[in-house]
Amino acid sequence: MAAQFNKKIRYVADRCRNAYWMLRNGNFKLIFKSIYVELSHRAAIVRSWLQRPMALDDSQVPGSVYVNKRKVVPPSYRPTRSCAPPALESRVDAAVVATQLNQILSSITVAAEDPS
Amino acid sequence: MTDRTRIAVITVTFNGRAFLDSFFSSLLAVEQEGVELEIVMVDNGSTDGSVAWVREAYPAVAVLENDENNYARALNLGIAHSQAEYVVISNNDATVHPGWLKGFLDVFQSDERIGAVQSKIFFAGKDKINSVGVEEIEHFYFRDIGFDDDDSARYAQPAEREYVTGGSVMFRRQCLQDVGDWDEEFIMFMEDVDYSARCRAKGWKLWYSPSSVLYHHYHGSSSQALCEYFCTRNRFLFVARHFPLELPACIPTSHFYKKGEYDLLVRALLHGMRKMYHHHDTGVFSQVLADLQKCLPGYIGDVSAYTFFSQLEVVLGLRRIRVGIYDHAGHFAGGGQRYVAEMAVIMQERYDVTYIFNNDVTLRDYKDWFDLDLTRSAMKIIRIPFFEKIKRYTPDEGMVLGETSNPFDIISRDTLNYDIFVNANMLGKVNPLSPVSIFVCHFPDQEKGRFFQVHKYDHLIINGDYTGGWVEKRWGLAPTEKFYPPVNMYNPESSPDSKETIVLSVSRFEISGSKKQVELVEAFSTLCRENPEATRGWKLVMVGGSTPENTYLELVDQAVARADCDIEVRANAAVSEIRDLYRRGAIFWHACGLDETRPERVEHFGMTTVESMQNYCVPIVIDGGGQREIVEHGESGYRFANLAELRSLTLSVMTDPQRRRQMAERAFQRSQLFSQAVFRGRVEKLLDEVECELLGRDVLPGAGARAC
Repeated sequence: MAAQFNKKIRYVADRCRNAYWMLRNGNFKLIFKSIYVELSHRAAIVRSWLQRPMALDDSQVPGSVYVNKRKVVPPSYRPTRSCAPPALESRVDAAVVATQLNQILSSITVAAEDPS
Repeated sequence: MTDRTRIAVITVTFNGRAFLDSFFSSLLAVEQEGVELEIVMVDNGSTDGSVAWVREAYPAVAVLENDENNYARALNLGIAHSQAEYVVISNNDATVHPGWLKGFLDVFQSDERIGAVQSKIFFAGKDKINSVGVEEIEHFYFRDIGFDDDDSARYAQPAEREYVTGGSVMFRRQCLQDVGDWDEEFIMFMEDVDYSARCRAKGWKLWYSPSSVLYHHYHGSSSQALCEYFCTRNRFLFVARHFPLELPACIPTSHFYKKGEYDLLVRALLHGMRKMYHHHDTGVFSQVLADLQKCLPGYIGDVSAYTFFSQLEVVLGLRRIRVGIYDHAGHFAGGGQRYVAEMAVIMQERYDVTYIFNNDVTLRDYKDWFDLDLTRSAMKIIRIPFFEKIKRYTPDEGMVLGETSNPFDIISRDTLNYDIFVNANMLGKVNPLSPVSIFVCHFPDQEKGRFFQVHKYDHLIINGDYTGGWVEKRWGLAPTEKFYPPVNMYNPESSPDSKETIVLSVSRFEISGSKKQVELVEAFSTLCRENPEATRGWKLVMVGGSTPENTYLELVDQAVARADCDIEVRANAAVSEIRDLYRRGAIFWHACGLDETRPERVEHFGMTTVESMQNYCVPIVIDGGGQREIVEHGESGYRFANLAELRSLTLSVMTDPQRRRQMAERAFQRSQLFSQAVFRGRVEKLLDEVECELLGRDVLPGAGARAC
């Protein structure tokens, strides 16, 4: 519960920080764009909430952990192909990083969240 | 030896033919007193004839052809090609003022530690400034100094800059040699900001010269979307290299984050972390990881954060790629299981493969069923509580109707453990959370319903056009790959000469009667009755698997008893026996789909048809489903619409041995399209692409291809 609340606080703080940054730079076009993005996000949540009793496809409910945001097709340019990069020397101790990544992964508890 | 100053002008083009004439003609008109000019154009794979045109119209221009569409790489090629002591990099969607070169040199003479000098760049056709240098605004966003300003006294004096644009800039050769190659990972945009930072890190000064003037068609040769993507992505690369500890703070201010494009954000972060891994030490890298651990789940959610850290392990080469293959019906030996098991055999050569089942089965069973060795793969069984509760042995997604939560979420959670998740048997309700996901569709049996997730998969593989058509019709999705099932039933002893007067049918004796063996018995019986001379010595042999107490098999036996001709029924024949029948059979019959209106009742592909063709049988098959793709009517066999047509086509083949032989040879050739080797080749190509996707760097579309 506390984590959820902190998430919301962080979200609002980010929005405020962005608004301040945009105002300071006089980027009014971006302000309107951000407002539009925010409103359409809220509208989508309300729409999906209204549709719930009708048993429509709830895999599209925004904000659900099971909405795979990664797959949302962005409006911007998307590279269609990748190419394996050349191998480079590293100054990082791979063993230390591997251990740290393992710890990070085991600290993220996706299964505890409610899929619906 | 000459006393003249040697200057090389390097310009990079990609389909910029429209701009080249005005650029080169203005370039050749610049004041060249005391200058020895070398012009190099690097082409990034243009398809508009730029290369041929420049070679003809401007023979003095050296033209280099880059093997991929990478601006930074093109610069490196051009710089390596040139010998001059000063190197100018310039956009070509521009024209230059006659004093352009001299303007650079004047500033260089003032200080030998000046490494680069940028021009005063105007918008072409306006009196507005495009750039007189580059500066950071905030949060590692950069802008052109003077952008859209009127020209004024403010920009009339040479001045030192922190960053210069690559649109029109002259470098001292020593500076280029000292700093090294341009970073090709940037591809395009912000590579100049990165190079500026690297120049300053080496102690070189960057200046602006008001007397070197260029007129630029802004974004004349690249799209706005392309610019936005690369600027946002490359901001992470820049920060990772020069200000690594600031990387986490760049996330909330990035356009990818603001626009909710989390997949692109993750991709850019992975690029950035790899760069950091190669340019900074363990302490810095570790600190950034710890910071990301704190902030990333808040920004993009736990699921995406998990996949980011997991994929990072692969990107940094810390572990092998993991593949999860989920087959909810993996405890049955069917064509679909074999199809994916063949893929698994190829995958386990490269990756750590884990099979996920819902019921008791072992990978040793696959050896018994299909003679496929999956011993290098692991397996796990995940029971689905929803189906356990209703005692349903095989999960049936059609039974998930009014539930508030998706019973297959338990599988979705498990997909996080893999880099590539393969949904092997078209269970459309499993949400893939792995970085790369593959959905294998043998046929879209179910309509789109509640919790439909197939649109979320990166790759949708189909087994043929028939399936593909129904995927589009039922699900509104476009398949991404088509892999015909691998067929391997070739008997080395088969040849057009090994044939006997046998009409062969190989199909399971389905209880539903969908394979139409009763109809085939009746057709053969009628054929023999109406054409006793022509069919003399011919026999119909029907082979297929059957369950015990199969009522349909009893119907077939009854029909055979009624028929007054030579018909043999062999249920559950051994593989060796079937191979021998393929060797001896001259004609092959297949009627699954006859008089059917439901698409799923029609043979989706037709593996046994291909098996027969691999052994020089002439296929005479139903004109429907996957058979249309296998048999070319009148060439490698025949397709019939009804039983009368089946009889008449069969009679024509029976009575013309020469034609039969030609068709058998053509059928054999045709069958090579569906071989195991072709299947392996396609799967390996897909895996190469997927691997590049997981590990790789971006490549622009439409470029000359450099091997991955």
